[in-house]
Amino acid sequence: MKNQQTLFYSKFIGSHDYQQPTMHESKLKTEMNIIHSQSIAPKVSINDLDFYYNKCQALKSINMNIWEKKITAFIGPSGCGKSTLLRTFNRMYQLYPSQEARGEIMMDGANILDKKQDINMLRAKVGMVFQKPTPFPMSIFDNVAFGVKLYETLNRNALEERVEWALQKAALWEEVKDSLNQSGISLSGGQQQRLCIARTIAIKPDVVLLDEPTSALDPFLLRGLKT
Amino acid sequence: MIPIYTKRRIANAINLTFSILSMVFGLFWLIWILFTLFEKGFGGISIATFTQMTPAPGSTGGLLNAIVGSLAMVILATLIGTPIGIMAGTYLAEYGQRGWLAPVTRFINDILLSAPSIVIGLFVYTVYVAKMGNFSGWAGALALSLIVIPVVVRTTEDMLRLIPDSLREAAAALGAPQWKIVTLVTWRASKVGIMTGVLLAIARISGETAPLLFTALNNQFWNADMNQPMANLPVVIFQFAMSPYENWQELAWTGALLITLGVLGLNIAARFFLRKQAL
Repeated sequence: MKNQQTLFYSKFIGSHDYQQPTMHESKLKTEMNIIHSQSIAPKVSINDLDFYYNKCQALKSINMNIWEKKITAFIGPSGCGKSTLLRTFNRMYQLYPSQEARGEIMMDGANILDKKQDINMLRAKVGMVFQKPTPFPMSIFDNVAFGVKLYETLNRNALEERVEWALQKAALWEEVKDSLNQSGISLSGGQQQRLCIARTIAIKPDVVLLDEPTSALDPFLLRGLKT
Repeated sequence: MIPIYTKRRIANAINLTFSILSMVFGLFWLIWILFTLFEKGFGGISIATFTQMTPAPGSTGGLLNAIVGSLAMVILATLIGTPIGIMAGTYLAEYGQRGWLAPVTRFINDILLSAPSIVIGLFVYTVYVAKMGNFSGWAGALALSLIVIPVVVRTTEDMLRLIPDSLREAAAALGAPQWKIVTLVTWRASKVGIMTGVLLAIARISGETAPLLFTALNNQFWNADMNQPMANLPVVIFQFAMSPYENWQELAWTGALLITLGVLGLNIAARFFLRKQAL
């Protein structure tokens, strides 16, 4: 996870007003040793975003910019809508008929929320790691290769290289390199979560959405991940 | 002794006693049935059972034509019913979130699930046997497949619903289209459950007599033509057990034991293989 990717990092720290997500960049920035190159146009800009669960409005006219190659963190109390906002960037809410987003989220000049936007291509570009680990019921190798195989046709060698690369980035390679054919479910909770991180970065997304994925990881491993 | 612990211990003892009692009650009948089957049927098993046709009263014979007929119709019914059942169950669990089609299908399927099997036999008799003009193995397989479908639909839907949405979200987040999420992730995750449903359906149709009485009927002779009336274990058991002839009655017991052992063996084998794969 070097600096080619824009990271959204949602983590509960204190009580803040969710309508103006607090930028907690500077601290995280130094922590994560990420060098910034300020781009002029924002990677993502949100205009007047409303979000509804059935009739219940959860987000009210959100406006904000998210810059390229920067880490943006959403911080707020539990239940304030951090994850809801995060889930609009890859239209994850669309799996549920009762959920609806209105407004505009511009990324690379196109509106993500536009019905014409190919939802699967969008999700291949905007990766997401969830709060709880969700390994697929298949081998460790296949878990990481799953997303890669969807949009790329790599030969066996290139695929193996990609899987190793992703597992190394997620600080899991050393632990699983001899058991790639073992089921992903057989791993421990923390290992499963790193497997899910590897799975997401293996498809080399432009943007990575992290919904508190490190709550299952211990701080020592966290350091290994960030650097 | 702390009083609250005493209370909990008593409650625990009572619950445990009732659980064990109900288990013993259930097992008692099962073991009695199995014991009777073995006692009356085991003596009749010989090579002749698997090599000779159903005999005339008083003469010796076996159950070969009935065993083959049963196998053919059960396998065919499973092959017809399983794909339809799995696909319909998948539709209900994965695609039927909006609209009226899924709730209506689910309701009708529940009715079909609890329909008496003789009604299904009569139905196939009316729409197939009466039109074709003769009883046949195809009609039998068709009737049995109509029993397979609702069982498989129900278990497939239930098993897929047990898969947490987070797993579907995780696959969707990688850009997987819905059909790939279903075929590569959720089916795989619920493989054991869906297979159990199929086995349950096979076990159910292996012993069904009523739907075959009106469709496959019976055949005293060897027959591998599915367009002709076909011998099958349940109807043979029914006919032979009701007869006054001793050798027929003995063969009926043997047939009943064979069905039971077949279903039991299938269950054990499937469990063994599925457990191996699931780990």
